[in-house]
Amino acid sequence: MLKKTTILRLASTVLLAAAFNASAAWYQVSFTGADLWNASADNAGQSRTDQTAPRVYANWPAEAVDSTWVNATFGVNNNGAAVGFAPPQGFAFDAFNLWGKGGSEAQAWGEKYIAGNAGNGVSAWTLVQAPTGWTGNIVPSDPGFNPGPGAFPQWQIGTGTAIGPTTQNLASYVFTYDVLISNPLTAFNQDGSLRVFFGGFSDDQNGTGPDTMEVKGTMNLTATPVPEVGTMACGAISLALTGLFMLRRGSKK
Amino acid sequence: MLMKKTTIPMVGLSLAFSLLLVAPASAEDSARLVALKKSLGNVPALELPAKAAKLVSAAKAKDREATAKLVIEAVSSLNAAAVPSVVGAIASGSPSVAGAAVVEAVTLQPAQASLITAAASSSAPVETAAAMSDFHKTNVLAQASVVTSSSLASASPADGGNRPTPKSTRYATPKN
Repeated sequence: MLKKTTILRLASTVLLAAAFNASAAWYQVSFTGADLWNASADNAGQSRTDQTAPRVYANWPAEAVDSTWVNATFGVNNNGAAVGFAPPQGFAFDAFNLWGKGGSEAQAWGEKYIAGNAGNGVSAWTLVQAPTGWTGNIVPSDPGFNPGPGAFPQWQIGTGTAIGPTTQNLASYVFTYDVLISNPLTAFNQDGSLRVFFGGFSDDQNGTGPDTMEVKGTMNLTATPVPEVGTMACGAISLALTGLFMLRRGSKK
Repeated sequence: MLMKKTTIPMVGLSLAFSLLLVAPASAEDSARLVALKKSLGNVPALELPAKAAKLVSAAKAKDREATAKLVIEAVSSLNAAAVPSVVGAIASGSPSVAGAAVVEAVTLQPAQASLITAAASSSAPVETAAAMSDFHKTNVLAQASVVTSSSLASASPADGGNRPTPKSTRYATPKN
């Protein structure tokens, strides 16, 4: 028969393992309008994964007809402007989404994290904060609209303000969400940041830009671990058991 | 000498191959379609996906997408119920044309959209998602043109104007 001390030791070991070695983990991530729109110093000669914040855009009606991108290089505007990835004014995001579903195309953008794909994937995301007048929702896996496993969040303008490259106080437009990352060991960049793909739509607002644009890009963001209640409970219990075990050892001596 | 029963469909299939490989990409689509219908019409339903996928993968790279569309059109008219499995087989054998195959199939058989995308997404998930996103965008675009003219009238001239129209019916994928 096992001694009580052995049982305690085993229990604390198992609980500690459960608390700290779980594969999937929740992280809280925030980004702002500045992360979405600030022009990057992209280099057309480099691949997407070598750039700081690559972006590409398309004229949406043209893409809808023949899938031809206005700009097939990344982050470099070929629409007449000297810098930036799109005309510097005249349009703004009124809807955009993240990805997190994995796949070779996401990897080509340098996005390495996979949002947990239990069920339709909705449970892998929690929306925490959006700017005033913006609404967010989770798009579940759905054969007719979002094929394949995994969900992703999207936000859209309601009564709020569209977010464009010349919108005032871009940094004040804060979006926050929690995501269950299923591969935390490989999800992050070497510097610890999380590269996040986004894509969205903007419409002409003053007659100077294309009627409708689709912009895709990446942001390098800070992801803060969110301890789960169950994990914290496991940790607390295991520490208590370890303490009890040490006390008993001490009293025997 | 009598031919075996299986030889006749094989000859038909070979003829279809020849037409697909020799005919110019921009011409004779209707003739190719007729030939495809004739040859695929002799193929048992269970073998249709494999035969269709073979036809597509055997086509030259530049003709593959057009071939996939023709094959799906032929299957759609011959045996509509087989379309999802045919699209799945084409997506598996030729992932590069999966998106075009899905859109063609959903356009021809909208009632089977869920089955079609599910069949394709298991082999080519990103291509299928991108195609469906484009498909929805195209449809939404046609409907949105009426809304846009009225909503723009109240929009601010600067970035940051209030925009009233939610765009939850479309989304962006990492695919270029």
